Formats: sequence, structure tokens, C-alpha cells
Amino acid sequence: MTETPLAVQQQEVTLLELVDRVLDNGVVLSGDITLAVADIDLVYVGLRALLSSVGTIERGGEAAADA
Amino acid sequence: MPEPALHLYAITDRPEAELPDVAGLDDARLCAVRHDGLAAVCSWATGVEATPPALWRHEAVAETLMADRSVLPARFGIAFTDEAGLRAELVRREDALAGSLRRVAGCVELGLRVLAEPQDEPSDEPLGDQTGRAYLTIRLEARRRAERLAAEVHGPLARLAEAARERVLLTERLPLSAAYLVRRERVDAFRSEVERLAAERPDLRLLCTGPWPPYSFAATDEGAA
Repeated sequence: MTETPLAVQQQEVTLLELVDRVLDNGVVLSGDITLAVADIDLVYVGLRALLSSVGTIERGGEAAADA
Repeated sequence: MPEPALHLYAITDRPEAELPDVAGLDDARLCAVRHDGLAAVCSWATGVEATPPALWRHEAVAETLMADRSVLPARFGIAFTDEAGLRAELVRREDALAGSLRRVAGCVELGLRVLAEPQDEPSDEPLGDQTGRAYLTIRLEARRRAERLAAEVHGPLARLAEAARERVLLTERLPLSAAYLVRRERVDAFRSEVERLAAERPDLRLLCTGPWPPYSFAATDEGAA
């Protein structure tokens, strides 16, 4: 793991935590219009790609598990 | 051209309370649909997409509301074509929503991610030297380490919380991710405990986020409607 400064890691974690909360949790009402799952996945993957240290922590771990 | 729709931010108690002067998506004014002891806070928006700025705006509204009322923050992307549709949902789900609001009253959500240096990482070994059994042993040890860590780190924090949701060993580098529903007056004690645990385990990074509106505890009990 490359040593990322704690402050940067904290910022990235905060964004990741936001995404996990607003797109994956929260109360759900049956609205007339609900954001398509495909749109949400797209944002999720895009954000993870941006998050250098935390994103790769999770992907790196999965890659290691597949090795 | 997409039609404008009522984008939902949160369900709150205190329907009589004035809405805060914070802009919603598209910089629109907030409005509320009220029923009995509930208010659904929303605003008109067109063609909403889940971009980071939009997600932060959604979060900002829920956070602002949380300052002086109980909130069930809504999942991003739920919208109604008119107020009548939203009111019908409020009426239909009234009891469950009121019950969830009571459960989160006076509380905020705190998030924790524990980052660890992987030990005996399988990918560090030349692939040919690893038998399936050795690989499984390593995975099993990683699992046990994560469970011990969950007991050491998650246990004391869960005792300071009203409720907790944890996921153990998402990956070796992220052995624990958890959300805690914490009474406001205990937030400082919770943070101190995180610092104490971090000092005790210099091999880990404990990243605590929040206070968040209680997204992880906003689900209602009545099952999928």
C-alpha cells in the first residue's frame, strides 16, 4: 500500500462514505421516478476510479484475493 | 426534455417547523408535503443525475434539517410527479415512518472504516509456490484476524451506540466498515474512544466520519412495500 497522507485518505473516505450512504442507504419511498440503477452504478464506478488510495485499497484487496 | 419532478430529501418530524433557507438541487427552494406529524422535504428539479455535487447538495439539505428536527434521510434519486403522489405515500407509510423517526430521535450517524496493512498477502508469493491449501489457510487466518479486530475495535464502539451495522473483512485492507447510531451527547465520548483505540492499534488506521444524518438506520420495519 502506498503511504497516502492521512488527511487525503480522510477526504477520500468521506466521499466514499457519502456515496455509500446516499446511493445505497436511506429511506426509500415508492416514487414515480427513481434513478435508474445503471446510472447509480456508473457514478459509483466513476467515483471509485477517482479515489486513488481508498479505491485501490478495496480493489487491490480483491485482486489479491483472486491471485 | 425531462419533466420537472419533486425530488425527495428526507422525511422529518415537526411538520410545523419552518424550512431552512438552504437551496436544493437546481438551486431550488425547499418545500414540504405534510401529513399529521410528518413532513416530506423536497424541491422541484429537472433531469437529476447522481453527480458528486448533486449528492453533496442532497446531503447538505438532510444535514441542515437534522440541526433542529429528527430526519430519515432519503436515498438519492426518489422523485414524484406531483405533491399528491408524495402525500399518498406519506399516508400509506405513516406508522412505519413515524416509528423509524422515533428510533433515530436525538441521534446522529457516525461512520468508521478500518484500514489495515495486509499480512501474508497471497499476491506477494510466486503463484506456483502456493498450494490451494496454503492459500485457504492464509484466507482463513485473515478472516480470524478481521474477526478479532472487529471484537476489539467494533465492540467498545457499539457499546456507546444505540444501534450499529458492521461489515467484517470486506477485503484484507479494509477489515471493518461500520455505521453507528449515536446519541448527540455521546458523540464526543465516541470520538475519544476512536482515538483511544487508534492509539492502542498503531498498525491500523481508524477513519471516523460524520456526524451524518442516519442513512444507515432510516429503513422502516414494514418490509418491502
